[in-house]
Amino acid sequence: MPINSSANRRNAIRMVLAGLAVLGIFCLSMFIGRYHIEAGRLVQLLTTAPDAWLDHPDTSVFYYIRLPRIIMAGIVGAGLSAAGALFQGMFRNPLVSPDILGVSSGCCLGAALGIIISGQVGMAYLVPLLAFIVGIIAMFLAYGIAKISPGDQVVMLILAGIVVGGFFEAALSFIKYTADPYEDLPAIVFWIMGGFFRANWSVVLNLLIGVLPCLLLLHLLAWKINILSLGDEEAGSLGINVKVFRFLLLCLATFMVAGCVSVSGTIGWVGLVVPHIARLLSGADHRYVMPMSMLVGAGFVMLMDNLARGLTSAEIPISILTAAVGTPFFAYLLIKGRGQAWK
Amino acid sequence: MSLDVENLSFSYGERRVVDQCCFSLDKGQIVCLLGRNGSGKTTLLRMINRSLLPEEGRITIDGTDIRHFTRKHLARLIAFVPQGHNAVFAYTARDMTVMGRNPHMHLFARPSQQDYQLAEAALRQVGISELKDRCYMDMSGGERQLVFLARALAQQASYYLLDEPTAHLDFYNQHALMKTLCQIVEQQGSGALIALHDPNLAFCYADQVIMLHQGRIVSVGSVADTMTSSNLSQLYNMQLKVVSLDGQKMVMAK
Amino acid sequence: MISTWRPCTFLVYAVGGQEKLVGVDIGSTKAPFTTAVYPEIADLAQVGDKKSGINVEEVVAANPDVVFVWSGKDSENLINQLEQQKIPAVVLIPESADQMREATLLIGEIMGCSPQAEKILKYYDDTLALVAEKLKEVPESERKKVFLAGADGFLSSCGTDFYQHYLIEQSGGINVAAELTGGWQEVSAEQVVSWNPDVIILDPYCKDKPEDAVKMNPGLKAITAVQAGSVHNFPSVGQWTFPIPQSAMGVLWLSEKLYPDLYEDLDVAAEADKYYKDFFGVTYSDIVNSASANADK
Repeated sequence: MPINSSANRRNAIRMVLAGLAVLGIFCLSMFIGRYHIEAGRLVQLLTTAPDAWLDHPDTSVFYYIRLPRIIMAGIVGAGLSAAGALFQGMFRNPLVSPDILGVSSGCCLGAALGIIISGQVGMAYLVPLLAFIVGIIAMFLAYGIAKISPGDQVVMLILAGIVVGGFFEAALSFIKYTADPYEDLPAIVFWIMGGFFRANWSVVLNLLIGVLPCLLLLHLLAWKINILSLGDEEAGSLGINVKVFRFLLLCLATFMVAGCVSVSGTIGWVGLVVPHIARLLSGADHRYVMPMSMLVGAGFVMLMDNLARGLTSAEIPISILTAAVGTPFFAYLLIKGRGQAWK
Repeated sequence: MSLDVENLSFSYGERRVVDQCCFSLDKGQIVCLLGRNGSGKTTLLRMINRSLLPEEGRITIDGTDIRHFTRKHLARLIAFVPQGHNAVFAYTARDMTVMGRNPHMHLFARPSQQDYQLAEAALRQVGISELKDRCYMDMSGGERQLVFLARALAQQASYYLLDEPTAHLDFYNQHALMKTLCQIVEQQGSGALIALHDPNLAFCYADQVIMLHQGRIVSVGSVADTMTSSNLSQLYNMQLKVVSLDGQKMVMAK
Repeated sequence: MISTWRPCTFLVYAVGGQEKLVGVDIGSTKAPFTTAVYPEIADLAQVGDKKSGINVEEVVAANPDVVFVWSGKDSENLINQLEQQKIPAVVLIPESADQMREATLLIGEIMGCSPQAEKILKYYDDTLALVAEKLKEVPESERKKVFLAGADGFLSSCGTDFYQHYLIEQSGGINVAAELTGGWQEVSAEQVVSWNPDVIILDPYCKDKPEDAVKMNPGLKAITAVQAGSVHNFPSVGQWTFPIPQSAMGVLWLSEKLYPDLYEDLDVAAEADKYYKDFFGVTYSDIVNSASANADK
């Protein structure tokens, strides 16, 4: 990257600032929670060895409830935002969110199935597993339908995604209708609402293993995404095997989105709004938009979850908070002409 | 090295748009494709670019069918300058131009210092160096066209395909672009196939001319051989006369 | 102790253990019954509720000895977390009458309030027996058909899965919607007309007003209950539709509404006042009055 360009230097500085901000939010989040831990005591806790974590409620709350939850929120925020940025670039459409291929609907359906099938034991594994699998199936269904349909592939993908999403939503409604009203239905409704209260170290570990490599790959491929965003014909002329590359990116993003949604439920507006914020900060170039989306997404969701778990003594469903912040901001973007990244 | 088109045909549904076209493109030559709107010029170019698969016939470079090349390899051989472009993202001219370096980069690579230098050189050669930091969406249609040309230039390909590149340019820029193309072809020794709407530009700059009428090649050869009054009149379906002024030929409507 | 959902809190009150609570669900800190009987409940830690989830940190912060959790797949995660935090959790399944009895005794035992638990259950059984005795005078053919308008709107009801069905049966009514399964289900106006109930009862959580429903569906005017004006709002303050011992009052109330002749010698309102005064220290009328006083605020 030529460092003599002032635009690039400005972007680099902003990236560093964003990174620091995320770190700051992470640290701040550690101090937030309904279980009060003195600031000094908390710092002291940070040096406790893992085998001593269960010895005292202070450490057990901090290390088993609070910390995994903050990390989970950060990773899911980054994952959903990066996928959103990718889809918006790939589909050349600012109104696209990671749900576009029906992945979220698939995950909800899978989770509902998992809840119904599982007995009291085993739900912790079966539900995210089925959610993940059905989410992936949704993507492949949409992709398959688009592939055999004539016409512009990008438009077909969006339409197929709407169809698949609609179908899974209908199936989900049916399941809710027939579900046991005591055992299953409340659990299904609750799961769909989304949130990070299910956080524990095994979930965090799975997310780290599954999502981080995807984030890294998306970051490395960011420049190629610029070219892909020019349209199929031009990208092809510039040497990109569009069919293969798009499929690869779809798989990557879907894997990431399904992985996130299968443990956190549906969290709205993040994948749609955060990439726009990233573009406002760093322009249209995906080399910057991609990492910036990840950073802003992680920070944003961590902040929202702080409110969700700390503002009142109840848990505020996080989708309400992300919508409360996301929708007015999106309206603002529309009014201002969607920022300079689109005309 | 030559690019050969053999019996190329294409139909949109029932309508045959390109019919049994045969010609060759040699390096170091500017070949102009003339014809009315809807004569199949764009379709022909898109087939050579492998954006469309021909119904019949084939395209070879040095004897090898282009279908056997990877996209990346093909992009090193052929650079395409599109007619229109649906701009969605606000890239700068420099960033847009450096995208032309993609065929020379591997999967995870990012443009290097050298790639940027080549991009800036391309912008200089095309004459819009001062616009390099401007967002390409803020430019006029003509300036944008020049950015695409610079991008094609950065590809360092053997053949350039241009689809009515002068369509949005003012009089000065039309000639400036064609002159630049001549320079490029001369310096790089590449070949250029340009679809033009103005036959006078062909008179000024073409080495060879292909006349396309309703998908069929009705005339191919040197400027002198093909661009006669009768040929041109038939091609454009109007009374045209070729005149010569100070040694420069041009065509006028009667 | 911490109670994480409202019916359970009512059960805690039933056995007289409310003073041992250190945390409750949010709804209970505002409910008329709970606040009238034990005003300090409003100051307890609020840990969340069944619908939006329980804040585990809040639970741990309250330092409970035992946490009562509801049964269902949505509580599994909470139970795991409590286990990890080394807090004992007791899962209760009070949905049917028998389960309710079991749960009441269990809570009584855990909270050291077994005597009251047994006493209130005895009252429950006695009341149901009383009603059953009175109903012997009513032959099957004269039993009233009841439609319970449910939480999903006037045109919704429930079948045998819900406790409300049991209440209707115990009070001598016939639940026209008995065949419904799956909790609250929407029904068509036509279906209700075809059932033609003698009495319509509105569940406390039914938000629709009968007048509005009839306006929207004039066909409903054909129903016997509508013509006779036998449409009643089930009293809400006591939460008598929950599977709790206090629901005995609900059975009494409903039976009286169905067969007023049987209860000429029994003043149900006075009975309710006495019951609440004995067990909770406040008369039922006082609770109702404080509820409307708060509603006017």
